[in-house]
Amino acid sequence: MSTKIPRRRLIQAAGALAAAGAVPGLWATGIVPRPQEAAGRTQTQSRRLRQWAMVIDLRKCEGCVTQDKAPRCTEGCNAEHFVPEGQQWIRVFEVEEPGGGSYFMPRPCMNCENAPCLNVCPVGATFRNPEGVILVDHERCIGCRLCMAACPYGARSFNWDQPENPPGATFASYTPEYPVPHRRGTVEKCTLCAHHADIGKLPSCADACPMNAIYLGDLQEDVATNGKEVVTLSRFLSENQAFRLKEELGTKPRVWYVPGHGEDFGRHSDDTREPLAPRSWLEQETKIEVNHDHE
Amino acid sequence: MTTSSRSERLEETVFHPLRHTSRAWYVWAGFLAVVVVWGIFAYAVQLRRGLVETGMRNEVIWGFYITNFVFFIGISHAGTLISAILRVSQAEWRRPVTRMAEVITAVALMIGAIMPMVDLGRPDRIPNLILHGRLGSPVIWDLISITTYLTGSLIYLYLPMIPDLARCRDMFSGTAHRLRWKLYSVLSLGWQDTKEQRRRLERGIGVMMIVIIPVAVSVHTVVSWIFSMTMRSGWNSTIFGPYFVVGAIFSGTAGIITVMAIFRKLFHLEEYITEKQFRNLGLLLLALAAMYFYFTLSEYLTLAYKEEESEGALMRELMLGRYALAFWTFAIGGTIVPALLLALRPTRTIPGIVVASVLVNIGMWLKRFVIVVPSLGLPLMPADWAVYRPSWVEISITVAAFAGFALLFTLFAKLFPIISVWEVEEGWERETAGASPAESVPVPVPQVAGSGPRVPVMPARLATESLEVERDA
Amino acid sequence: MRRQPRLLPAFLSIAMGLAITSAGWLVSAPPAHADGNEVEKIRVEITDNGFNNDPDFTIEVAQGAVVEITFVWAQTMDLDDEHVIVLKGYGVETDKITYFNKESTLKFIADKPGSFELTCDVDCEIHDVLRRGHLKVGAGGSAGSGGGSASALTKTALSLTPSAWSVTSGPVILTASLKDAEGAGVPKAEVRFFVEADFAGTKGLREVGIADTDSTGMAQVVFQPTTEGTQRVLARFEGVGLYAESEQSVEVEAVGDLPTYSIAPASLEALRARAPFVVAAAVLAVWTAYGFAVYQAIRIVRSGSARAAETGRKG
Repeated sequence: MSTKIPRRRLIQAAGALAAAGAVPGLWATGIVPRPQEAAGRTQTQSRRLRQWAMVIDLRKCEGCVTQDKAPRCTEGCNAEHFVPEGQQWIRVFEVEEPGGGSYFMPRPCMNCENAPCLNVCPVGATFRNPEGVILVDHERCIGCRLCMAACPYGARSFNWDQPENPPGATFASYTPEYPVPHRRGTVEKCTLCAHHADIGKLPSCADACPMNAIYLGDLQEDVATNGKEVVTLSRFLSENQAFRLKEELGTKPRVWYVPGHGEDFGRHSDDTREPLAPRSWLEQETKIEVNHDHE
Repeated sequence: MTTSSRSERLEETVFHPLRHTSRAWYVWAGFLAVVVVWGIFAYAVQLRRGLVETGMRNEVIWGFYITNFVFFIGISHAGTLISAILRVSQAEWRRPVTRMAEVITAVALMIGAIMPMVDLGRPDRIPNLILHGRLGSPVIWDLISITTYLTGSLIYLYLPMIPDLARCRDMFSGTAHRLRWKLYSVLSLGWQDTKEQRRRLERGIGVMMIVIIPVAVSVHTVVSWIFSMTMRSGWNSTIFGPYFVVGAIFSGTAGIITVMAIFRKLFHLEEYITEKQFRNLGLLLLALAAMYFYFTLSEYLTLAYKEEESEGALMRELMLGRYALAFWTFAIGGTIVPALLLALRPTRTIPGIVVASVLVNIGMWLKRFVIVVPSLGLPLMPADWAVYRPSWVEISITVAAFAGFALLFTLFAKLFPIISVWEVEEGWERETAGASPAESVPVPVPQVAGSGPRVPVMPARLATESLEVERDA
Repeated sequence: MRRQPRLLPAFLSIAMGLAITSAGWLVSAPPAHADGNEVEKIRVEITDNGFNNDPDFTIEVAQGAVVEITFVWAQTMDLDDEHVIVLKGYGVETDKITYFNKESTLKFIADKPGSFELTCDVDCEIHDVLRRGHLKVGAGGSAGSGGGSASALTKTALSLTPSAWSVTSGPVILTASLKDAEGAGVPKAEVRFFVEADFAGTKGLREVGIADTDSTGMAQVVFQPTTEGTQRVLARFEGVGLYAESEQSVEVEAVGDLPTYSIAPASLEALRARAPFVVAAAVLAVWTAYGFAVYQAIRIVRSGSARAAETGRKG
């Protein structure tokens, strides 16, 4: 005795199997439309796109120890973005020097031109906008954290639980350039204040730094500023022996450092003062502005 | 002993669990089900409150879940090895063991594939992997590879089951178990053991056993590339692909030995799963232990000799520091001790081999942990090492994963014969007839259009699974 | 013969008188604030309370003056103390001044304008009060070296000429010509070139090049405009030695396509571009094999049902 399985069913099943196999194949060859990058918004003021970069002059950075405050760059960033508790998108590290002594190094996202995080993201939630800033699309991120494993600078953070958002945040229209409200289960990082770029403002860390140690640069116009002076970016780098972090990894970061230990503001390298712990936006009692107009 | 009584005994023994369910089974299955439900509850807690319920934090971003992922996918190499490679090489001793091995693969893959989903921060966005998948990402390679392997191993498990499913169908036809009979009827695809059908089956199995080998190799290779496509110390290694594949076959073989021993005991299969199976698999395990030891040595010696800044720090924590207990338990208890048990004749007994296999898998789980966690705890910038402490959620889900593995096995063994009866019988035919494997000896089979209860179909002598070019279309 | 002996003593006494007078005149301490242009001789006492009893002691001289500062031991306490006075910026220092070597002089030409530290360079007992001495050299005062007569700093004129007033994409060569008041070229002078910039809310001059003038007073840099439109380029000479500062600016227009910065593609791009096809081919091959195996299973069904139909018909 045998049972009759409708032929049609079997053919359907086989077809489904083949199709399931074909889809990855077709999509790889681009016949099926490839997932688009989240559209980068034009933030330019001139006809040519800017290519943002950053220079941090360590001769000026003294970890805010002479100010008796926590690092103002971190606190400024925390306040501006309502950075979830426990995260520091720009973080000040103390690096030991040969011969004793130390210097401070603020580490934002490097916005690498050969970004490991971008290479490994399975869904393209990490993308590069047309101006070279690496951003995260929190509406697409699946929270696998492979980007966090891949980043050699440890510049990314994860929302392990639902971050506390400021009241009124739900009315702020979310964009990757200004990722408020924050979502649970997604990856966060410094955005180089891409939302400031189109209104020609410095990133919050650069703005907050009392020593004007952080420069915003444009590789397209070859210019950089820290809010006080304007310099030719390429000359500033070459005349001051600027270096990049972990250059040998080939990530081609867009953040340069001018070596120093805060000597411009009287910090000696053997100064043992430690920076204070930066406060979160809650501790700073920041409130969301009604008009966060980033179009 | 006549052929019929031998095969009658085989059928009686193997199909016994299908026909009779003891109370002990219910207790066991019930216990496993409770553990699994507890694991689901733990996951529900995690879904509600977020991954903060785990012990993972901003530095050690992966922990137990990814360890389990690598472990289970590793075990899944069992099926391919035994089934496919030994089928291709026509090793006769594999016959009683192939189905168990194939089931291990299917079940381990299913459990293993769940693990990264449990680990996701936003599982509600899993469709994005299909809708917005990027072919450049190791996660997508995993998705393609594991899906392909799972499909392939399900096909590869299913095809050789068809004749046995037909037997089950005939066994249950006309009985009160109408649902089960229906299940077997559908699944056995109207198998009547005709020449045509046999030919089709051979071709299907023949194709699968070849194709499944490279697929299996690709699976654990791409799993390893999740780690070695990053630049973390301890992961940034070129040998991860082969290292993981050898490790997978190593733990897979140990898995088969353990499962084999359990079912042999429970179902009284001593006549079919003999010393021969254990000895051969045991020697294979020994060879794999040597290979895996060699790979491990290559990896760690080259790092420890040079002591580059962060690799040196990693080695110190691994071998002398926080992770030393796990590491040395794996290195000695998980590789050297089992190898000795297997190599030395006095300990190369069935119990000795089984103990070795259990030690291997404990060691391999610890090894996967020691690959995943320390490289994440190692600071990337001047900062302190990060510590990982798993939470009750992670431990519950891990235990539930193992329970789920056992439960799926238990259910399978309840519904389907755990030994591939027709293949064992085929092996006997070969033995007694003394036919060379290259010959094909079809025998017309008396058809029993059975409606009576429990009239078994006479054992069929099937065409051999040779790799000859098919003569007819 | 008796007359000669009377002249000699007279002559001698007049000479001595003159000598004593001039010696006395020479030795007398001139005021600390000198504004003459000859040799400035300044005498400073090292007392218990610092230079000339003033912890914040300051000397002012005019630029170009030849200066001699003599330090004299005048301590009453710590008689075994030692001092070495150094003038930072000019790189001159005294010998060791002790109770037994009471005087030492610094001699130099004050050609650099500015404020320079005058301190004791060794760890002496009264170090605290010898730390804050200063020498101030006023700019635009006297003329050049060698103790010559005073004249104001030479005015200079800087002219700036770009190679093209309007460029499309290429660089501009900026030529600056530095001439002194007589119209002669000023050699070996550092000229800095800037362009006006307005970036991220900050306006300023950004430096685009530095060049030293050659023997004819010409300095050149290559300037690549990076913004479109009209921009102001500035050349500046800071002034050095005798020469006064000067600057000049011109406007240059950049039209057309300026070079763009683009992220260099990954070097293995040629291989990366083909990789998806290779992967797709491999995956398709595997799934085709699966399809084949499944097809065999389908045929099992079909042949089984055909057989059953046959048997059914027969039986």
